Amino acid sequence: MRRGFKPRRSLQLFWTDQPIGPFFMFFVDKNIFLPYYRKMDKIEPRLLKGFTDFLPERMIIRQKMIQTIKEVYELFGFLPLETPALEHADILIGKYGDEGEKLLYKFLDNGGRAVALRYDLTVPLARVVAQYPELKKPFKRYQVAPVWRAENTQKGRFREFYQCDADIIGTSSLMADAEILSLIWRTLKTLKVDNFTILLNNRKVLDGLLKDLGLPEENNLAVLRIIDKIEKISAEDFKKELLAIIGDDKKMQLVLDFMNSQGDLDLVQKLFPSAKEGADELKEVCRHVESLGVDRKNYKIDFSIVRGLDYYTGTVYETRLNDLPKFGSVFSGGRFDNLISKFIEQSIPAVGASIGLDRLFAALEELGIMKKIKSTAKVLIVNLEDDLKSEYQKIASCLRDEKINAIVYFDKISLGQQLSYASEMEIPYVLIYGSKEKEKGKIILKDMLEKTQAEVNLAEIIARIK
Amino acid sequence: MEKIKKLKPELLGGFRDYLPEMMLPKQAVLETIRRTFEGFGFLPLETPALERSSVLGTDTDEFKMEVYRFDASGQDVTLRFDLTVPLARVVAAYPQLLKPFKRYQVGPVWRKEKPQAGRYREFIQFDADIVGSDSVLADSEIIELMYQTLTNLNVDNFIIRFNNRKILNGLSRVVGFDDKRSMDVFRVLDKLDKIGLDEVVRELQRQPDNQYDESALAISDEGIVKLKEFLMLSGSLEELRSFFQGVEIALEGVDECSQIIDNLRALAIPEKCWKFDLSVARGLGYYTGPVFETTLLDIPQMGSIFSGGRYDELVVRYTGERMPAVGASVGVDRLIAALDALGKIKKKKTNSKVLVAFASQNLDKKALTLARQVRQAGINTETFLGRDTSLKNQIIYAVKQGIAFVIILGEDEEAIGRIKLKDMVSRQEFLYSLDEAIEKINQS
Repeated sequence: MRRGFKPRRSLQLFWTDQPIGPFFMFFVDKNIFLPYYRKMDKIEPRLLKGFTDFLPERMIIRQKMIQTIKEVYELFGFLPLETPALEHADILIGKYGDEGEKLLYKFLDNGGRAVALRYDLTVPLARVVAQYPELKKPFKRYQVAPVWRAENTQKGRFREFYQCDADIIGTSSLMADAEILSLIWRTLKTLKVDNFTILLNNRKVLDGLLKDLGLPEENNLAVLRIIDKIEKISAEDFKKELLAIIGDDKKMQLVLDFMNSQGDLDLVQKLFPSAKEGADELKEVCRHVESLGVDRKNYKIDFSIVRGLDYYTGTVYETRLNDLPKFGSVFSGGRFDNLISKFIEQSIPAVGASIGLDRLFAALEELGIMKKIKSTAKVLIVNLEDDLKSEYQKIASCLRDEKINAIVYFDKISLGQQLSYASEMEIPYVLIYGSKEKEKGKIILKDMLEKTQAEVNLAEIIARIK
Repeated sequence: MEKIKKLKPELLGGFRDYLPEMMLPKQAVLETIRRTFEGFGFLPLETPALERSSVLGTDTDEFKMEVYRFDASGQDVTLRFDLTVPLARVVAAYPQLLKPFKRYQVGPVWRKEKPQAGRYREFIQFDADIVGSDSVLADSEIIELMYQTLTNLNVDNFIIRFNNRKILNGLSRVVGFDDKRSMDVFRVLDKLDKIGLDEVVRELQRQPDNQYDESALAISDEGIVKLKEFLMLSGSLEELRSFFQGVEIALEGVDECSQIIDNLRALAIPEKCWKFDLSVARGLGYYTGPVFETTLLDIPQMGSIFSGGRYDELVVRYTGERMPAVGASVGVDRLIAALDALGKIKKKKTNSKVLVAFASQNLDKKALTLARQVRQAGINTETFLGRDTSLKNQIIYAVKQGIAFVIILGEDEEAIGRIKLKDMVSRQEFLYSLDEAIEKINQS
């Protein structure tokens, strides 16, 4: 039952429904139809739009990046978790707002169940916490995995991308909020990113502002939307749009003062007394962040940070690369104290953040921090003589025992061709071993970078390369 | 208060979560495999989970496997069911990739198999393939890689069995059945132990019930004589050469096996770990040369946990040209289930080595600073983030998680500029400077 699919690509004639087969080819000039005929048999190896391959020269470095991120997360005691890509659609629906929900990959499986590909790693985490109450709290977990969103590909967005999440479940201590910020900082530092700013805000500050403005409830979201885009629109437009919703000059001025306050937490409480709880929380988080030794220049309070997702309740973070602001936030998150209670009666507080790995990777590529690496192999063993094949394999095996990545060239082609393979793949050392060398009990070690070579034995080779 | 209906937090049937205590060992297994593969110069590749159904071939009638195929806004898409077909697409799409192309890929694949113990609908495969070489050295290297990987994983009692599709093709010629039915013939032969020779022969000779019956093999009497002769072979290469005299394809296969055996012997791979075995056939239709399977001898019912072979025609679908390729794939989840059943998986609750505990609330910031310093030394460190911050509760957390060391920050120690380090295993306590504490932790 696969209604709605087009039939397979096949050539059809206008007077018949039947695809042309080889039988028909007999009657017409073969050369006219040959190209079409070939096309019918061959399948174009094309990807879906919004999806991408990572070939080794990019994947090697991307993998190192993932490894570094995991190591930093583990430094803080976060533990790995893995959840499936497919979930019951019900689990994911109603968590991401209307806009988000449109991007879900939803379908019916053979049994007629509504299933969906995960949209982020946070909602599956909430499901896990609800499903396994035996998990010891505070539960600090990380997960590195792809998520899927049917984004508009015209904006250059990917539909499958990796997220690297770290969350702390089961504590409302603001030490946890501070630790997440410190984790963001340390992760980026370890990835050799320097010029970034972590922008910190608290949803309760914004809630306080909305409460004191006292607008009809349905306008609140619109106010937050305008605050959210302050950097994208001109000061004039900002004012204009704000006034249209608030409709009161005095109140609007309060909001403008708030936006211009440069994160001044005392001023905020004067402007909007209800924002006190949020402001106090921000103060405490900042105190902890200082103990954690996070560099002052890498974080600041920014009241325009709203975070689009519905589930945030307290602290929120975004991280901007100052050299590449157009990439948007590369590391974001916040506190979501009510999400887990969508599944169970108990309310379990939680805070965390997530790296948009592919966005960060693209940014680092553009900044030149990520250099392409062609190969992880250190040594190529040239294949010169059939009789020596097994000796080549033995040499490789010895090198691997010493944790030196080694390749034997399989096909006996000319030495020149094999050397050019090594240089194209940027393999730094080549071993040349023929019957002449065998007689002498030596191997020629060629250093491809320094362009030198020497006759040495295996022990010397291992010592040199190490 | 209005009571909101709660969603039941549950998984789809046939799917599973890896909670940390299983995920930690799984990650260690993946890391070992990765290091071994890189030792042989294999390079990482990543392809998307979702592909066009036409590209994966799941939209054709010949495709029999149950997969996750659906309509995504008008596009016919499928979640990948293996990593080999996407590799073939990559090889066709990027002709600039230097050959031989040695790549590895690790990632989940999805198959809608009937859920049963140990079988899941989403599972991780870890593949290594060599594309662009038809040398027997490449075939041997894959077997060596399989051996080395399992050895590095501390698995000892296993056997890699290999055969060659060319021999099986030769058999179809000698016995007289269609090449494509080899799998069916072998499925019947597989039942030999269970149902006996007579029953097997009856099944092989069954004639079609009617003109639509495609399942019948209808092997002739002369064919059965040949087949019986084949079954009597001990598997020595000499015997095979004389059995297949004049059948060139089979002789080619025998020759390749003989070269592989020579190579494995030259590499001194223990003979108990590999075996040339005529019963290995491999289910997938695309193999064209050597085929490999690995059985854990302590838990053979798990089936093959590391399998592969040579498939020289997979890229033809896209380019019209043949491209030699050989590789193998670890079924990671099945391997882990097997290791777990054998008691070889050590469940770990944590990767943290140190908990920095504070005896009184006003020292919490000091604890954060100290934790930062310990992390700076590359030691995985936590501070307690729960609500009940009594020292006792913090220590209970460390015990339950199995964290090996607790640093206790108290007013007294603070006053003399020392910290108390508690070794949770030996239950000893030490008064140390920070540097001494780090040294002690690193020594353990």
